[in-house]
Amino acid sequence: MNNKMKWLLMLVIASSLFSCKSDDSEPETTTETPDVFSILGTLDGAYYLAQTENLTSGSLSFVNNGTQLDADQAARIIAVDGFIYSLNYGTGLLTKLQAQEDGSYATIAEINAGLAVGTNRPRFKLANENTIMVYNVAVTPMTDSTGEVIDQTCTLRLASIAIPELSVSNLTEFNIPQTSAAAEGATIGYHPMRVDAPVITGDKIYFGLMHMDMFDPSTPPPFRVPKQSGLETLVFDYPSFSNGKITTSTASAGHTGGYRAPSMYVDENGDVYQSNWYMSGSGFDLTDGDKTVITRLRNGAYDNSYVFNVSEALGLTTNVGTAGWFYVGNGIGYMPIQLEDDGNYYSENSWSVAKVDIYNKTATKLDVPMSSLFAYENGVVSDGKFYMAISPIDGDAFVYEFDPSTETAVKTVTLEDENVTVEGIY
Amino acid sequence: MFTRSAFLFLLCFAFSLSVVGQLRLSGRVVDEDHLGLPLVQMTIDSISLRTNMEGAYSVDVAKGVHRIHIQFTGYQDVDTLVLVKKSVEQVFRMTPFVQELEVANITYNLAKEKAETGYALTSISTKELQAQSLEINEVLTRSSGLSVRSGGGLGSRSTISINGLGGRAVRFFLDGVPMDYFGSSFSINTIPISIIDRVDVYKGVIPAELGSDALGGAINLSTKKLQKNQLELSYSMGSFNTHRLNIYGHYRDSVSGFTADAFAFYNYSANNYEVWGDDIHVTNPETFMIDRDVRVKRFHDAFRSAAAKINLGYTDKKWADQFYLGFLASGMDKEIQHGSTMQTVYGEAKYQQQVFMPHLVYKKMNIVKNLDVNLFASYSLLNRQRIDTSRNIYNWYGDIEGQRTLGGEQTRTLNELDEKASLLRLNAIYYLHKHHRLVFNNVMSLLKRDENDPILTNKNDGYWSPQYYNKNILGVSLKGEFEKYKVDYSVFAKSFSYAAQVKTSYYDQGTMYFEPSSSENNQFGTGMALSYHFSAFGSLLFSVEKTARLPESDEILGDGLSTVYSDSLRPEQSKNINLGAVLRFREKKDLKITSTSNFFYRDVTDLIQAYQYDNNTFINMNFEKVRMTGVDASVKLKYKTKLEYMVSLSLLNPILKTKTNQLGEAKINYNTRMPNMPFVNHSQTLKYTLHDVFKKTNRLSFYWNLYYVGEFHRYSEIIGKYNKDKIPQQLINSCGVSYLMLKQKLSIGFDAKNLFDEQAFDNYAVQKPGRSMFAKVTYIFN
Repeated sequence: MNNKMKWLLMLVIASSLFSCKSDDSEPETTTETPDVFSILGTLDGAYYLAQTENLTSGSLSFVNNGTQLDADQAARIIAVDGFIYSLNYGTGLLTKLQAQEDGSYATIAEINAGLAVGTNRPRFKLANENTIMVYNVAVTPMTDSTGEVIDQTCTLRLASIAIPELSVSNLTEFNIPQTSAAAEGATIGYHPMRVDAPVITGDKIYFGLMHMDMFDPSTPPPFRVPKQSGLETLVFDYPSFSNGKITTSTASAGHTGGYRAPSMYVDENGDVYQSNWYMSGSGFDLTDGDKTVITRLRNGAYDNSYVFNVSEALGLTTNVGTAGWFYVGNGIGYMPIQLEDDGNYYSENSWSVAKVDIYNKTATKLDVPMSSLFAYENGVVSDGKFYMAISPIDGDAFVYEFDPSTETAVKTVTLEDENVTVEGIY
Repeated sequence: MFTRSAFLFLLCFAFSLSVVGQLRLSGRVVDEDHLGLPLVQMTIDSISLRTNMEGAYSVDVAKGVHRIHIQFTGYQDVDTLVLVKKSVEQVFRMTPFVQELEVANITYNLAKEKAETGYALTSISTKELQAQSLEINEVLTRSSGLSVRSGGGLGSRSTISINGLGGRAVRFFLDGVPMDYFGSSFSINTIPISIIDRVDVYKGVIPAELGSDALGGAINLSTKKLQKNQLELSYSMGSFNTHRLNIYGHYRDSVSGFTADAFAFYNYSANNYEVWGDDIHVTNPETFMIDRDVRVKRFHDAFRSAAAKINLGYTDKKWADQFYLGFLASGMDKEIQHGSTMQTVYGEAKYQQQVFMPHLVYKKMNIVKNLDVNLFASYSLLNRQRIDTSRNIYNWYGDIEGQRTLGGEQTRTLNELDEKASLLRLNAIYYLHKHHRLVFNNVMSLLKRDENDPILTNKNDGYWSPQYYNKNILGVSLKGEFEKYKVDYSVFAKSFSYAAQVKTSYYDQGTMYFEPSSSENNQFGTGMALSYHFSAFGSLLFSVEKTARLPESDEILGDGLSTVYSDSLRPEQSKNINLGAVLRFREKKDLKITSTSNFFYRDVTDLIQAYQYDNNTFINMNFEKVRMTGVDASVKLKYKTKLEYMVSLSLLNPILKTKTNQLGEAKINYNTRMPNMPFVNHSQTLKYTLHDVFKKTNRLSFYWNLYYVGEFHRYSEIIGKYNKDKIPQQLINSCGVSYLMLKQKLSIGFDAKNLFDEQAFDNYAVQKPGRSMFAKVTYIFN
């Protein structure tokens, strides 16, 4: 592999590497660097990965281009050190791929990651530079003697996958405790139903939590949808995965695990910064008190001395939601934001992008076209700039370049296929 | 509607009872192969009458000698005297005309076209196939323009496409009655060929008498009409522990006319055939590494179905040609081996279904002068259960290799569906004139649906039952012939309507509300079919139809799991055109060649598609537009009664014509071929029969069949370059031998399917059985 292209890393890694100033982004790392970027596109249930040598100009089309990924239901991608780790969501197989000169990807190895956690549909994330975490939560109703559901048991199963060798360890099963807030949120509902976005820092691993928006089925319609209060994060000692507990915050409400864009990052100081998700379309009761925030976790707990109210910092008149964000280093991140007045969160051009500064608690809405970014997964940092795809519904799609030192947004690569959804750049 | 029909029925009944005091002459007019000739002109003394579609006739005469004159185009007249001393059945056999022409000796043999008037119709007689261990699906696969795609072995779900339109676009009928509510245990996948006489496949344009909102075509199974008191038994067994047992009996008391007609069948297969290749993998339990390309036997794919149908009543009475009260009971259970591909293996998930259906049949020709009526009424009770709760994770060796954190291999469910459906079909034919007739057909169905799933706590709208779905299909048609111009015609109009009562849900300020909502739609369709018998060589056939396919109950009501209600669905619309030709050559009496070809055009809009609008939630939407063009052609060659050779070829060009997607974005695959659809199908069958083997009238037959399907993509043909999912081209060879003895009362057949053990696929990465052997014995008791 030649080194004519600059390094490409998953943002989580990037965040841990950016210990220097943004104008000095050349990392002193010995990791093997890929010579291409990969763009993940999906159309009619099929997933394709296409290569591009640069992100600063040109165009990209999936017509007669790219490699189809094995995807029973969906394909999820992690890129680290020149390898692509593709999870077949539906079979649970995790395949390690390597980009080839001809534009295809060679299969290097594959493991059954789903089997390790007892599902064909595991979720996964890069938790530090040499660990992919795989995990799955099962929710089992508990019934009383009359068969009525009285509570839920939420069982988390997780495993660590060391990369690049793909060896599986730390098979762990853990019953996620329900906090009183979750238990009181509903007669039975609002139990944890998913964990996601794990990060490892120091001797802790943090998992964001998603709670079920559950209607109470024990009463006839109309059902009550209880309002959730507070934020919760699951913390284990690392690497022992012992001492699992829930840490809580009242800074805002909602999910803390992100959706496809991750919610949690470790900054250069080893602190965890976490976004919440409370968009009304997902069943939350959106009132004036709800807000999109970034919170900080230290030493296995929320740091109540830090709350960054992104909604307020943006100064917009509409409610602002998010499903995750991208940290690029030095306190700067880019957050897809949903503007509730502009439409629903899943199928309308109601999303923009905000530049957030977690240290100075400032947020600026960038000059990008409104699009639908709910399911957008990943962007990359190259030469100190952040690149992500923005594909407005029924509009021209481009890769955008954001310079962390300014508030500019520049169109770069033209994405030619209007209805191929670009889910991420790797 | 019910009351009006009932009134008409009673009126006709009363009228027919008033005709008394004469002897009855009835029977059939048949061709040289003993197939009934439809609409044959008969004159008995001065009484003029005609046979029905199956070649049957019936007339009241006085005791004594009667002169009978029978005329039918292309056949030599029959002129004979019959002595009638008591009510009697009489079969008349007609011999085809042979005309001397310049090129070859050619015969008119237009019986079929006369009956079917220019429709693009493929009629498959199963008479010669009865000795073999074949399924209806396999027989359909061999004819041109049809594509059968099954999800595995015996009993697996299959989709039949006609000229590229499949699934719900194709409707099934049993003796003209829609099979919509017969259940999957009594369907084209389970009904044995032994009880079927003929399969008619209408492509694109469907006559009004098949009351249907089908876009792509209709398949009508005609059950055997046993004429004598007979009991037929057949048993087939073979590879994968497959057993199929069929009993068919017919009894008629010639004095009282009391008739009992019954059949029963039982099917079982373990379906434990071998699968292999890249999609079959096992996991090393220590390292979780994958080992691909193993060869294993399927271990959780068994299928069992059984059905019994009995009709009790009277036939060939003055007041009814047929009057039956009947009862159908059927049931099935099926294990589920894997998900949408073979990559995810299941070891416990299964489903089962039972149907009980009492029904009534009434048929009478000339119920009043020149009016035939045919009535079918049924009430069906269907219950279906899906059982999928296991926590065990199986591998392809059938071993449990782990535990799921949540039960359910495919979806954790104990879903139970109850459907109660009433169906009423009234068909009437009024003969306006010797050559022209008016056909009226109405099919009404009323469905009530209840669902339940004891382990599902987060219930969606589908569960707030009962829900209702009612449908009515009315068809009126004028048919006949202009003898002078050698033209047969049929013009028709259809009215489709449905009304559904749906439970809808909406969410407001933290509360989910459920409200009843209704959904209804009416559509009007029209069409025509013409055939022009341009010479003794053959005919030109032309048919055209503007038609609609109503949204089905589950598309509107949701499935109670992941698909939500959709109360604003419109029917799918299509304009269908067929232009075809039938050419016939006959060299002396020995060699017969028949060539059939059909060019087709389908312009379909508002195709209903499931659209994922939220995480794991689907809604049905009217969306896709497609245009299908193509050609089906087949040539059949027959030399004496010894050699038969048939070759067929179908080419399909299905083009996506949707310019934008659900979100309004330009579709990159606009004007490309539809994914996941075969383009090229080809089949050849050679059959050789030896007569009088070992003993007079004993026959020994061999056949060889070759089936080819071309490669096609699972997803868009233009997107992506490497590692694209493809269904590979396949060439499957099968052969068999049968021996008929004891004046054809006993037959023994052997079949070898997929002789060279090819990897056969209909759907992406779902392998069908490899080489398999079957034996079948059939015996007829008179």
